[in-house]
Amino acid sequence: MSESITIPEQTLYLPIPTPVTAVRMLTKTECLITVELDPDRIEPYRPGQFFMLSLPGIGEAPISVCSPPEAYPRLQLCVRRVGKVTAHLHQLAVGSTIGIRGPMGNGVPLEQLKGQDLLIAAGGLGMVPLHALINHIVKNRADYGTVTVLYGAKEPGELLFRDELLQWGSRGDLNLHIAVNIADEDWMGHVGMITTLFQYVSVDVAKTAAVIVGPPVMYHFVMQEIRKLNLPPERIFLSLERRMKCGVGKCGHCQINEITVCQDGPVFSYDQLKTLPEAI
Amino acid sequence: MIDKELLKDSELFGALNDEQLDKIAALGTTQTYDTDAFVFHEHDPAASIYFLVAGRVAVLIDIGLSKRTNVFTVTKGDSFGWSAIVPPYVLTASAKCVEPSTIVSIDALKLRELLDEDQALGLKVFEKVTSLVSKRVKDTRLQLINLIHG
Repeated sequence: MSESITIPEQTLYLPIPTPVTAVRMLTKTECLITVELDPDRIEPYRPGQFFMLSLPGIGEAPISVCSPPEAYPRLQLCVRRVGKVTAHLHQLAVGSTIGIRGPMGNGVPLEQLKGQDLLIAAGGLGMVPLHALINHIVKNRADYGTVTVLYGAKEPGELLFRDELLQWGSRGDLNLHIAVNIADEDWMGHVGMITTLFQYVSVDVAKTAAVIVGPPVMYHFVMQEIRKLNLPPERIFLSLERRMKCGVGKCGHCQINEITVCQDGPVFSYDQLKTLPEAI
Repeated sequence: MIDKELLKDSELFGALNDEQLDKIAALGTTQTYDTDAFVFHEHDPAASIYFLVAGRVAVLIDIGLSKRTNVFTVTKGDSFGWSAIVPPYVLTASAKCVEPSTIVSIDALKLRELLDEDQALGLKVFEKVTSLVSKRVKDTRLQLINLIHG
């Protein structure tokens, strides 16, 4: 006698078929995919969390949440074309269906950030999760003190969300500083590493939290600048970029010593990471 | 001649005493530039050393085919055109204003003569120039690392 297996409606192991409602190219290599989540099967998300996106017969890839929690059940995901799965994701048309598992990971601790001055540093694709956070802050501006955003990209063509950058820069209640590593002669903005933007930063140590997201190489140098500010380690949050596979802490791909980035993170306080030599 | 108070915001001259500041201020002039105006061009003889009082300046390197790459942004208080006091006194980059800018220039020939005569002053200024060039090298390394590994 065979026993039937019941799969629960809400499970992080089962991709939920989800309709694509918009696809827009942001740069030559990044596109923004909008989907409409089924609120009965997929829980609300927060900045810093991620979803596993799958295409049957092709594969699955972890993609950071790009939209603020207020957009739920709409979800935006920014996908950089780096391999087979992401190349196929770039070819999605409106009305097609993708598999979604998530939300995964812990996300940014929004409750701890409330009432604080915020220093936000984004490097390259690190702007994707921080786009979700910044838009959340903008929608709840009174909940936060002074907000300073530092954003570094390799070149002007790699800057994400250019329209919103202009809007944020003109708000008057958000200090936005952008740097590119290299530019052509027509670029009127700042040229240099993101670390050169710290000259514009002054913080009130007693009430400032920092959130930093970027490629691994960025952390090493940005943390040198952050340490000069004397912020307490428990108020510095970093999101680690690792090769995540299962998303539920089982496969070990993203393991660093005793932690799994996909499940224990990807957002950690510096207090948690400073004793993990392989983390940053 | 410029007001020595202006020099106190300069990374090169800010730490000098009043007497030394007076000597440097006597060699300075202040100029304003419009957006897109060039302060100097790469490969030209370095006639002055500069510091930015207000505005923003792009440092550009020729890459051939009449094109230039923007490699560094000078911000308020930064000094640039250091080739003016380092042999062979030839500019290693071009400088173009990306905003209306106010810039102090110090006559290089007279400055070099002054630093020869007053070696205590010369030592102080060259320590700062070395520090400035070292910072530029470090920043360039970081840009390179980020381009390769970022």
